Amino acid sequence: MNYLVFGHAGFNHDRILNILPDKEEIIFIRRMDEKGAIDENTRFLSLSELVSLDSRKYTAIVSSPYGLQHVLAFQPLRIIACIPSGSELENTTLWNKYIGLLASYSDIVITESERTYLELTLERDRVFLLRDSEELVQRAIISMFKGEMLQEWVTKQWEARKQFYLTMHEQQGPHETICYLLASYLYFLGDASAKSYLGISFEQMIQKEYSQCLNTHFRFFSAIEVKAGDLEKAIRTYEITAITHEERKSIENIRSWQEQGEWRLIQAEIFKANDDYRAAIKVLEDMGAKNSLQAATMRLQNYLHTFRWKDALALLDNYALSDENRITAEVIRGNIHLIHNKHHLAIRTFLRASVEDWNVLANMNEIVALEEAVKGEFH
Amino acid sequence: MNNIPVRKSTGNRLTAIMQVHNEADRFLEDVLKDLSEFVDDIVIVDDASTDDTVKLCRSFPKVKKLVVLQESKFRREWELREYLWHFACSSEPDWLISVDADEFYEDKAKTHMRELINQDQYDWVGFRFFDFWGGPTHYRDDTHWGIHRRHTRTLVRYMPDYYYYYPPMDHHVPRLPLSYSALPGFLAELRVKHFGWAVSKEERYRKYLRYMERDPKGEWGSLDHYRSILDENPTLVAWKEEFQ
Repeated sequence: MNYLVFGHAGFNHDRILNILPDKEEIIFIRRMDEKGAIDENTRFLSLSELVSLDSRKYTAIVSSPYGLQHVLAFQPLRIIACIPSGSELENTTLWNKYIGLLASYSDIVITESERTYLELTLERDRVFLLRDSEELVQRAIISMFKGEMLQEWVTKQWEARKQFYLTMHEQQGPHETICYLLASYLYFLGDASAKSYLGISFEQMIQKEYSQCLNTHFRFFSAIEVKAGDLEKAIRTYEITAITHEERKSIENIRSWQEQGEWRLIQAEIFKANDDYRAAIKVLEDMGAKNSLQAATMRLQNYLHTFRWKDALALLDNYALSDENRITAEVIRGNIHLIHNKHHLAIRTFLRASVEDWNVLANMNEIVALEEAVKGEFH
Repeated sequence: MNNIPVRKSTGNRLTAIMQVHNEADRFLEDVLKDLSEFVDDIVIVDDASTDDTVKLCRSFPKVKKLVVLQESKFRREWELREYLWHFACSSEPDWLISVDADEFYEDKAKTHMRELINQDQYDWVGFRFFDFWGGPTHYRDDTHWGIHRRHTRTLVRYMPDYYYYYPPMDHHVPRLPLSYSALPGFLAELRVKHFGWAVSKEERYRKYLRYMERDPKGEWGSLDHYRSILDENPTLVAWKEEFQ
């Protein structure tokens, strides 16, 4: 198996390289000023030398989100995203966007940060934590190469993390963070006991005067209630946390769907309010043919938030588009051209769309920012 | 399916909740008269009184629920607070106001009480409490006596599905669930007269002895604060009534 590494300083590449199966050749895409190979199986290439490789023989290990356009243009056999911790020096908007896109276009997503792991798990499938679980992640990678479903390994990792925090809780007693993480893994596993640990966490937050926890902690009960099947209680719980104008609008929508018996929409809305985009998308996708325009609109919002642009575009192509959505579709098309390293096509698409909405021109600035970021990483 | 909003902005009922213990010869009668003017009903837990407290409470028609404990929970304050809370909430009130048997809301506060509860923007209200000293004309204002400089949360919206939590403490337990701190609140520039210290010098000395006996090392409160009860020349400020 051959691997092509698009590295980033924020990720410990040795750790991932150690667990890759059947290593034959490892190639790092280097900056011009970097040194040559460190051993006989490892060599360095510049971006311009990529054309000399047979892309279908390589799996890309990508920890630089800005390398995405070159990775997609190269069309490797598989893409393994290794998500680094964000750097303070990075342009946050650009960084978050390309991290999201990288995760979306990858066959498997791996990170060393538990915070990032949880955030990504709330957005998508096939996410793994490379911490105290090298063997499990290695087996998941092997399954990926065999084309098998990865959910079994995902669930095993949730079980392992749950057990880890359960042991910590037993040793240390009530603690807001330990119990919150424990509740999170129990929630992923669909275990109703998540509620009692979340309760302990909430009490600790209150007792320690961290009172800004209505949305972060108390609202989480509403998502647990949805999973437990008590939608009425979930709505009332969520409503308690609905303070802002936008949140109150969301409650108005929920009350209206309640009258129409649109339970799936309510479930999706509450999952989304809890940042559980993965569960929200699943509910909406499971509606299948029953997808109303409202459900499609919600799916679109969730796809866009999680950078699932191919899915967003497919959805937009299937529905009669409003002017606003038509422009959104053009912006997505332009961005997809961009991340496939087709800059001219991207520019043409943005210019065409900007005739109807000049705000689209902001995407042109982003092309420049992206090119600068790529230069910093690989040139 | 229940479609009633969790925050009603009209038609809210106001329930006063109190815990009492041997209050018959102090301010209880005046407090109940005062409360009867502006609340819809009163819920009381009597903590094993041995005087006429219970009889006095029963004589007020707005006292809709009264439970008499045979054994005092005074030394387990957390349990007593929680007991009163659950007892009051069992009839699903809209708003609760926690009142001690020596506290009086100023007229202006009573006038605005319905505005405070008939809205959907906040779930609790804090008031400024004033410790009256030696009588009903002056309050104390010095280093250890400045509760009026901050707000005390006593008025809360009851929402059945919220998470209510009292910290398990034996003394100085908050009078309402601590978890209200996570909800949006309103700090009202409205005042409450606390008459617990508006008593004779001899009575204040007896209270001082009780404090020192209960908490001799100052674990639950400040010893300096306890000692300041005996100050010969405290700073007293004349109370001025405000109207509307």
